[in-house]
Amino acid sequence: MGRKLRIPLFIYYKNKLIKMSLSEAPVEVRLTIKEINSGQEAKRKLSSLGIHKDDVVIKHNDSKWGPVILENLTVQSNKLAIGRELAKKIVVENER
Amino acid sequence: MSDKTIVIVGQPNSGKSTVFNVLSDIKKSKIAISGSAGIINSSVININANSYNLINLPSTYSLNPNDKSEQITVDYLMNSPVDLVVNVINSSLLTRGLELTIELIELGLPVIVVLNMFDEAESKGISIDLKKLEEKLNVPIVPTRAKYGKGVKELSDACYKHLEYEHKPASTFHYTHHIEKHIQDLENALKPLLEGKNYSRRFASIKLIENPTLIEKDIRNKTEELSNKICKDLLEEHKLDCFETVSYERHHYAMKISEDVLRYREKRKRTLDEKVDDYLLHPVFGHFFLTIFFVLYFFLIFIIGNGLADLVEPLLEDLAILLAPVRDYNEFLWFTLNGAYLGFSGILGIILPYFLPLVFLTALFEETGYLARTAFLMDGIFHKIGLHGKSVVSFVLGFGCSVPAVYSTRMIENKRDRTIAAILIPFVPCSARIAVIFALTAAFASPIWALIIFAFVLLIIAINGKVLSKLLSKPIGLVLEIPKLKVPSLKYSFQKTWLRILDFTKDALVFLVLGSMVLGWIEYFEVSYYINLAFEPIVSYLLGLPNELGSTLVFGFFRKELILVMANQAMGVDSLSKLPLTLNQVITFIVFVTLYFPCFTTFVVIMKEFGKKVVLFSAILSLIVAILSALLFRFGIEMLLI
Repeated sequence: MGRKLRIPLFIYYKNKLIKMSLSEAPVEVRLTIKEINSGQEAKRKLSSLGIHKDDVVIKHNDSKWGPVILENLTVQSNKLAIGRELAKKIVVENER
Repeated sequence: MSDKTIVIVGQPNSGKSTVFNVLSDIKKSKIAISGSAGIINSSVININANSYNLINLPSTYSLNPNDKSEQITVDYLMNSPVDLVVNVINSSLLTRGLELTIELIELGLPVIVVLNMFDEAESKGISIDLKKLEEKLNVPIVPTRAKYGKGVKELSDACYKHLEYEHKPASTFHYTHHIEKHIQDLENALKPLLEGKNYSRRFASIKLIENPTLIEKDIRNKTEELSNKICKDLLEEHKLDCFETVSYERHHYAMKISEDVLRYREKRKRTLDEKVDDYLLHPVFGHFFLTIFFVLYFFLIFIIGNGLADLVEPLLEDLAILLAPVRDYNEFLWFTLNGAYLGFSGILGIILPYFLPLVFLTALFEETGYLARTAFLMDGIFHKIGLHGKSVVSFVLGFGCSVPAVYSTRMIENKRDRTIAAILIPFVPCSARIAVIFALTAAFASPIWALIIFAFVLLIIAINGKVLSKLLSKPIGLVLEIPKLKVPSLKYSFQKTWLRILDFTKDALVFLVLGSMVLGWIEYFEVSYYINLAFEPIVSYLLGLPNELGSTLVFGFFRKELILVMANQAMGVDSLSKLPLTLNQVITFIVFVTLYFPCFTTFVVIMKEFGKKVVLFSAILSLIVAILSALLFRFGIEMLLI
């Protein structure tokens, strides 16, 4: 139901725990990774680059296409660029 | 007594190569393994009058390889004699680095951990309790700032001590008890099977659960029943597959260690490079800067290349004069020598002058960390033709010359993306072909045709890319680390340039000189007639061109820019505009020439980098595409003109 609300979405996200894909998640908010629904290989790649389930991350860019820039707060890391298609398969939840 | 071997292993951007460089003696450096996976440097070092082999393995995130170069590292560690592993960690990325360290310790080889870029971590507000870390891992820890040469002495001492004296075994990392039980079961089952293996039983057991393909087949088969059962159990208990279960365990272990040893000071202010980065990655400014950057990049290569070519040219001309008297003495010898000379001068006078600045600037460019940002910016567009952002560099380079463009695909770590890029690059009109396009269209038709042909070629590339990416397995999508921006080191870039140039000229010289000699013989024995005859079916019947152009195409295979000269010669005219061709024929000819075959050098480079299969595929594909496109233009223009 969250998807139908357009403008108050951001406020809504900020106050409710809600699951969404990383590609549509709000920026500069602490997000917890809940599921990674990608193929085996991508999972391995993500895990070796330090992205795991339950990590707290921040998304840094808000473009509608192109990769997502991610910073991992749980594991100190450099920024990561994650392709849009893959970002759609990562489910996150905002942290209050 | 053979020298002991020290290998350097680390994750990307850990400063591994810098550590290698400060430890090694450049004069004694050599390329140990080179080829499609890139270059592995090795060197001989002296510590306290003992000499050791030092090998810099390709960087890897973990011992579960995701691409070819990571595979090389893992294979090397598992199968080659290694006496000490120097594990370089970027101190500011300790947790992630520790995951690899844990794997290395599990592997059972002696490990020394180097905490590199110690200052960077401190400026990020992270301090590391070294003593505690040493206790946790039970391996020597050496903090360094390799870039400034700090801590190098301590590192070589630690290596010496570890190699020549007794040392206590590293810690064992115990997994959650039920997983641990499974590991123990496997270890017991493996007891009789691992004779003479490099890696430990524990490592084999863990990998049999986590990533069985790494372990040799005969061992895997003998334990298959047990490991299958374990995987089933784990899947039931955790609702995660075995790989995830084990890697999460390791992840949590690393987290636990780093939580104990790390202390954070308060969040510091954003540093300058982070602020710059915001602009570099910005959707508008980022692309703007990218354009300026590439224009400058090629401009510089062009200027320096031109300068170098001008320097070399007089020397080569002198050499040609030296050769001239041979012609009166023995014609055959002259044609042979002249052929060899042409090949030699092609390398020295045409390819190297541009290759040198290109390799050097690319080395600098790679080191700054801007490459990752380029890939990020271009990923959206390149995704549309089934490639990922990193290919952009190779494509832009392709407009200059396909050879360095194919070489530059080494920056792309994924095999699939690399192969697609390498197959597409020969379609990008290089400067030689651009010259042909412009010269011929200028002589016969309006410049509009040049534009039409360019647009068509780009379309061909896009279509090919799309089709190829559909045919090959699906990509895993872009996952790319964006490293901190860095000031590149000139010394290291020079060294890298030197090694790459050496690697390139070694093979290219032989091939081009031999190829050009063959070309000389063709001229001497006047085989053009037979070549024309052989190519008649394609040239005359399919393309509707005069069959004299057949031999021109063969010359074009060696050097595309030769086509202009040879076409005149073959048709017996002294200027392009006098060629007895109709507009239709000229356009068909140009289209065919632009697409028909990678030139000889490109052919060799692709073969060297990717193997026979890929180069054959590339050659056949380009031939088919060229014929189809030429036919399209031939009949297309005919229809339009009626």
